[in-house]
Amino acid sequence: MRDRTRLVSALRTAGLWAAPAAFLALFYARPLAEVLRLSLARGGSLAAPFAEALTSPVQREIFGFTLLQASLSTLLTLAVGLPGAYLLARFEFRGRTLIQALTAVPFVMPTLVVGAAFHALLGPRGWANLALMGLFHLSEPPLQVIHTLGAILLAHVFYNTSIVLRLVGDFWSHLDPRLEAAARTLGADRRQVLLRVTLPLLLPAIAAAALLVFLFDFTSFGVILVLGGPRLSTLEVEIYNQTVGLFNLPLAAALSILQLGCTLLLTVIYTRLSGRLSRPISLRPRHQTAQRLRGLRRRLAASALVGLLLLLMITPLLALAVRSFVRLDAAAGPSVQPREALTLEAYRELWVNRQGSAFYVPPTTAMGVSLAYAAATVCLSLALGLPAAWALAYRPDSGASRLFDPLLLLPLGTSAVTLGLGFIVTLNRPPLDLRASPLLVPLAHTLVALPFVVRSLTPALRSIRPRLRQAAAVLGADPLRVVTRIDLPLVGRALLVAAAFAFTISLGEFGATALVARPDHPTVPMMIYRFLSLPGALNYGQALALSTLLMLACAAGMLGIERLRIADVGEF
Amino acid sequence: MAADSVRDLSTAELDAAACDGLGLVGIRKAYAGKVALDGVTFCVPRHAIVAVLGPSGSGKSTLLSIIAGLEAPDGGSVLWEGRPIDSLPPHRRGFGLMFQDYVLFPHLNVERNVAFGLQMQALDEAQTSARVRECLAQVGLTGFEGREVQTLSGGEQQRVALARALAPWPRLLMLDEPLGALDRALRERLLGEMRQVLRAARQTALVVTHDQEQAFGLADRIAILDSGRMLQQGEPQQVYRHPASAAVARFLGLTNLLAGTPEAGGIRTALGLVPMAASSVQRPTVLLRPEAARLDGSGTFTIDAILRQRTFRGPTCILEVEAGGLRLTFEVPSAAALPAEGAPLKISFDPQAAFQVLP
Repeated sequence: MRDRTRLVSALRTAGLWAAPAAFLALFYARPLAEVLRLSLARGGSLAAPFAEALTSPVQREIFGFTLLQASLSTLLTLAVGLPGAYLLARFEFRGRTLIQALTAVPFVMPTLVVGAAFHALLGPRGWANLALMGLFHLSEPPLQVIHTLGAILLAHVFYNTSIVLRLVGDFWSHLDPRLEAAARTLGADRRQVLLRVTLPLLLPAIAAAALLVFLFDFTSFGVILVLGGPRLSTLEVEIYNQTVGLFNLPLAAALSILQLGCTLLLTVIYTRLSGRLSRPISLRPRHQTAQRLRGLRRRLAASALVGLLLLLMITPLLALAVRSFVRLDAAAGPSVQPREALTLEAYRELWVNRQGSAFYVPPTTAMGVSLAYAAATVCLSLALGLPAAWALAYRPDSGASRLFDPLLLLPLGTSAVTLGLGFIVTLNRPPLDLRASPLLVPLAHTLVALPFVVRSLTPALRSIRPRLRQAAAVLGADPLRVVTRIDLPLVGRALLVAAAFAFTISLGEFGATALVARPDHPTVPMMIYRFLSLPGALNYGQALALSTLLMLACAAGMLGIERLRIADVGEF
Repeated sequence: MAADSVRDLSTAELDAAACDGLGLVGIRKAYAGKVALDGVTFCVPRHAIVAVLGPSGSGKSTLLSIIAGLEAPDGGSVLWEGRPIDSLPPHRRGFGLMFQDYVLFPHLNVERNVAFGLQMQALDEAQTSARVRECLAQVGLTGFEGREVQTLSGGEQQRVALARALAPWPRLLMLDEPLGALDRALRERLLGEMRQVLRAARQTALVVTHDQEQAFGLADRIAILDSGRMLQQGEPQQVYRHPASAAVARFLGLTNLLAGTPEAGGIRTALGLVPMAASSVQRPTVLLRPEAARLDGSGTFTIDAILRQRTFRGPTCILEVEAGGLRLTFEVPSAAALPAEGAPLKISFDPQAAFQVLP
């Protein structure tokens, strides 16, 4: 009898995992295995692409630059994010929630939007240069930031500071302040409290944030493509170039495997570290840990910090939005300033179907394509994510759950371009020939979105204490009514959050899309990239206008997520 | 402070200012307009254990934070040996604080928790570990050095917290509800142990608690705090024998309080004319002590009551009776013969010992 119930329970768990597992096997494991096979065998000589990837000076330089920019970006992000996390976590002041919401927006911005935004702020035709040229009567833009390491670092800090604010800030805001008070009464001064109590306790959160930031910077694609220019290339960009530009699939595959090895190594180091670093800490609700900002010096420091955060994280987006409404008329002479005029021209042009080129696709088509792909991604990722989250929430100790829990996160650490490459080399022949299928792009997007979907659903499901269901049952609710009256209302918000995540991720995804989408069905980010690579003010204007629309869609998604997130659920 | 020094200090404030240990003079603190402490003045003499007894929300924890220097008062002054220490930061005051739920450092083991304060004093390795061993021995935790704090039981955590607070030889040790989080049996055992440890170290200590048993069990002196004001201070027995006000009496569990009007020959109450010395108070409250009831009729003042409920407590019995339209509670020896619940009962008193007039 006992064995039988155990068997039934195991079968149920296996049933929950069946679809997500099949999906990962078909669209993650198999493409990657194919990439590995491809990288190992070419022209009879095994591992020749690997030899090239590891020994060619060009590739080694690219690898070095990838590590360099990722390390510098991570350090800079921590330098900006940790003081910000402290301020937002430990203090209560007017506008704090607004600032918290605003600083969460960059995280979901599509890379192409970020690239366009930094163009609009710091590019040769950007606001900073226009202002300097006007001020000092210069004929040439004085700031040459675009296509330098500086631009890449700025964009990465812009992107990832929100990760530090969220991960470290959340933890910090629930850390018992009396631990610090206890150290003070034992004779520790402020510096000793920070070094011996606060930082050691925060270390797991800081390490997690730093690792995630490093991973994102290490595999960053759109930002480097747009802001790095032709000279600065990372592994991710190089994989793309070798695939799309040079059709050197074996070398691209070898580079992918090299990159995957690095990310896996980092993940393993991290899980080892986090096991050793993390302590069971009794967390406290935020209202018990936050204090008011008192004193002029503190207020000034806080204002300066908020100013820096907004400057870094919001001005590029504002610059983009405003710049998309401005037309620059060509200067009549070398010393004359370009005249600025407010116009909707760039936006009107998006709806005009210019028939000049046979390859031309109107931007409106791209919007339709993007929305359709996003909708499909939402359906797919929820259909796969819900059973997985259910299994993780209610059967966390079953073998299947333990096996798949870390596997679900793998796509997050795998570069999108590698996933796209895997799709190209695998799904082009029977049994699964999806080359022409419109499902190819949503499948890739679902791989990227699934970890986020599962991570936002699991805590919400877990938060429904079994006692609530028992209470409902004792009060006379049948099992169906328990689901409709207890489970759904409590999980409904989390479902919306997960859907919003999937939607915004799909709208902005560029790395995998750039490889697998059909040129006659481009998404909005692909369209932006095309416009940005073409010369002429009109193309530039359309790139900015499309970016602005995409930015608004994603910001709306993110603010929706922020609003719907049930406070503190998932943090305890 | 300037305004305070111009103002004439009261006798109590002068006493506190002359205290050879910790003195508090007129401490005031408000949060967002809500008064937490309203002119708190008292003294913790050197080597004495003083308990501040008050209901939750009376301002006890605020008081400790101000003494420790974790919060600044809005007015008044904290003194040590008669000198103000308001400008000293917490880590330079040399005061220890044991938190209500211990707040042990989760990233350090037992030994490193206890050693923390010693390391802040830059004591060398050998002295530190000797002192840690000594303190752990004092609280009966020899051999626990290497344990992680999460693996300890509640009582063990409490003892580690005590050892950690004692280790750096604090001039004053403050204990915030020291036994609050433990179950009753453990609490009673640890109460005795803790008193022994504090006495053996001749530790100057300030305990805040809402539990009169703990205050009576630990302290040489107690001070009653309510709504941010000190209501009464003194030795535990004296405060219990002679509560200064109805509020203090109620807080000490003395609930037989009768409204009275002075008359010739005594005070008129719901139980009749109580023969007492004339009171200067217009509307005095009369306290009828719960332990003064006699069931053998030997007292000179007798009331007719109905027994409503009796609760057996081992050596004594708690009687709830109804008399003169009032509910009264008495504690009598269990040996006394009692009628059934709902039956009438004659209770007599020696008025001299049983009745007290409160302002």
